Amino acid sequence: MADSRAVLTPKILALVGNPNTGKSSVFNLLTGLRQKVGNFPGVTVEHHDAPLTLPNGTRCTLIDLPGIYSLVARSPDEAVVTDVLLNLDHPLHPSRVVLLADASNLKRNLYLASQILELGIEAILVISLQDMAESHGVFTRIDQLAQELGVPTVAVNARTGSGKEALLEALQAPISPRSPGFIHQSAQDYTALLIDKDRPGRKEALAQDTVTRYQKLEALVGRAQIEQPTLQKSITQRLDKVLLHPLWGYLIFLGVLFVIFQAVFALAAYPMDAIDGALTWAGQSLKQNLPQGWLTSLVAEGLLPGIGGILVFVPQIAILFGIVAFLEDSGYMARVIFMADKIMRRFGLSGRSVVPLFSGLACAVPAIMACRTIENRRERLITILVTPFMSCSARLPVFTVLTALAVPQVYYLGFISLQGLVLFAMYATGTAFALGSAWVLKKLVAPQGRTIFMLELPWFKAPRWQAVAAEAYLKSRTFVLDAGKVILFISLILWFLASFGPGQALQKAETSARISALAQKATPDQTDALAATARLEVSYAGLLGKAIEPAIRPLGFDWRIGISLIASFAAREVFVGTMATIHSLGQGFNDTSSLIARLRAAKDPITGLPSYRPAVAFSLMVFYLLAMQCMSTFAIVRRELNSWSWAIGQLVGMTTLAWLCSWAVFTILN
Amino acid sequence: MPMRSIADMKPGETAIVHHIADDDLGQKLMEMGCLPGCQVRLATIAPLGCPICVQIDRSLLTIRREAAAQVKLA
Repeated sequence: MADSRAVLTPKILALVGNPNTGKSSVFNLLTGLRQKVGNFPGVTVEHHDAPLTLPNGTRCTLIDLPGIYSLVARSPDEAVVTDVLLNLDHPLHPSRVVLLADASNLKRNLYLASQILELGIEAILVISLQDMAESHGVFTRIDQLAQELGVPTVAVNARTGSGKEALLEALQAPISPRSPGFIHQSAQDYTALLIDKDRPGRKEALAQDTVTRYQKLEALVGRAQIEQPTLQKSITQRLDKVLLHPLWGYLIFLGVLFVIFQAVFALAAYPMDAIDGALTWAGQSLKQNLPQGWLTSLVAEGLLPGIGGILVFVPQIAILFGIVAFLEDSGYMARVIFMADKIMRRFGLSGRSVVPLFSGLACAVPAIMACRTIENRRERLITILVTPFMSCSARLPVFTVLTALAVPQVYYLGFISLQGLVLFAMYATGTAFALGSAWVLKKLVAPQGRTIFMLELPWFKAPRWQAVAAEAYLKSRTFVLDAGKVILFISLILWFLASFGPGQALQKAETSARISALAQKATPDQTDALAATARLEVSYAGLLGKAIEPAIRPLGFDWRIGISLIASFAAREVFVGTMATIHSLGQGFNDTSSLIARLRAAKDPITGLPSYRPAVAFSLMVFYLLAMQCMSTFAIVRRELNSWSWAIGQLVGMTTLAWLCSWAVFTILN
Repeated sequence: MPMRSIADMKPGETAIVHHIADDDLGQKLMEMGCLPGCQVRLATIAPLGCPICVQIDRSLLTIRREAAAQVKLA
């Protein structure tokens, strides 16, 4: 079994090192942008891997393992990584490892490297970030290290690419076995000590190992590095004075969040509009040039909007991940966690949850992808589950129409708009629900073992722009390829529901609508609009809207809102367009005020009350705020948690909560 | 008199670690280079009083106040 695998699959090489050592840069340097993201079998911890062909033609797979500090795992997520190295039968167990060590913090980095060398795996040591170490006055003698540790050693600069050839050369060269241990006499004994958690005296043995290892490394690093004291206070110290300042620190942080929001909300709007415009144009020209029929409709009204619904997220994802990569790479993100930890921990969240939650105000899809940076599995899960409560930009058009309906245009003190206050209240309510449900989930989701909070603040460094661009590209690609499939599938279902009905119902409804329009002497535009309304009403979507009416009646909604709720699963803002179609506003509809006027006039056929009176409008706003009505969010949650059950659970849970709250609002206001 | 801990240090102050009162925490901190006998400098305290950032050798390490109270000083 093991043999056949070895023959069939390429050799596995693994990149191992501490966090913040430029591991992913070395990975990208070696493999380009061909990497894909994989999950470790059975768990949601992810790794990146990519094909790598060595100069002599050997084909390998290079895996970038998540950063760890020690082979003694300190959390379930770390255990997943150490298992790859310790368990010889693990499907990802590497035949060779590349040990990455940061020259500016060599002793601590060699701690892990020396542990792995003792496992007896063939290894190559790569010294990274030498430029930064030298700017701190620390110079490293590579040959001395290689000799003392008995391992091929290469210096690599991911920024300039120097050392790449030497590393590739070393990866294919034979490695002579090392003389036994740094501390332990045999690899088997050491592995057994690390694996067997119940071994008597293990704690003491590990503590003794750590003390001895550091003593040996202290001496070794003393011989391999030369330090010239620099009088200058480090840039990091000076920056931290401001960035972690009780007042300036938070103001700068708020400023950073504001820039993120603006970039995702406003800057992304330009390419998004362009994508939207291009696809609308393509759809219309297809409809004009192809014969009418279901196939044309499938392409123009099902497939193209579906693809558009995927592509339209790419600018937001690329921009958010560009910024997140910049913040991570420069070292600022760790400061954000440091400052936000105390507040966020009360809600069962991590300091790292701040950026995803805040990005959720623009769009939940990139925000949920940004939860990748949360290492703790439980905190990541909770953040992903509550982020969709943050009121995203797709809800804004819905709120605009509904506040205009329900709230008079009144100004307090001449400039505070009542409608604006209501809008603000929606954002505040969404945030309160996100934090509140996080607090509840914290009580419900049991922590997995004891995790001790320990976070390294890396030294500030200039971000590598290639890394920033690579991250933006890779995240967009992941979204399009992985979440895109589900989005396309759901949008085709929605298209089918809106375009077909039982038997000849659609044709009949359209014919009778056109006949009555003719009798009323309607203009061609009005006729088309009335026909579209009639078609939608008898389509499967219309029938479904009517079928769910008993369920949404208690919220004050009729079947027309029911149809809009179903259609909104494509994207919340679709509500506005669907309402326009239902109320026969026609294709050229471009003006919300005409929709608002039409909605205001609409009467409930059963009760005779206005269909969209304030109680209904508020109830509907609360529903749109709290319900998980977004197939793209659903798709990305499934992708990120690698689980249908969490995604469906979130959908059901949020929608139930929305129903209850809308019911309460409607009952009180009615 | 109870022993002082990192939680009692002032920003900018340096001290020598005596021992770590919690075993699990101790193992992790030692692996990060915070061993008995080593020098720690209190780099900064988060604006809300927690977490606490200490400099050990060449790394800036952040721990919560409860954990810092377990790191006793000589």
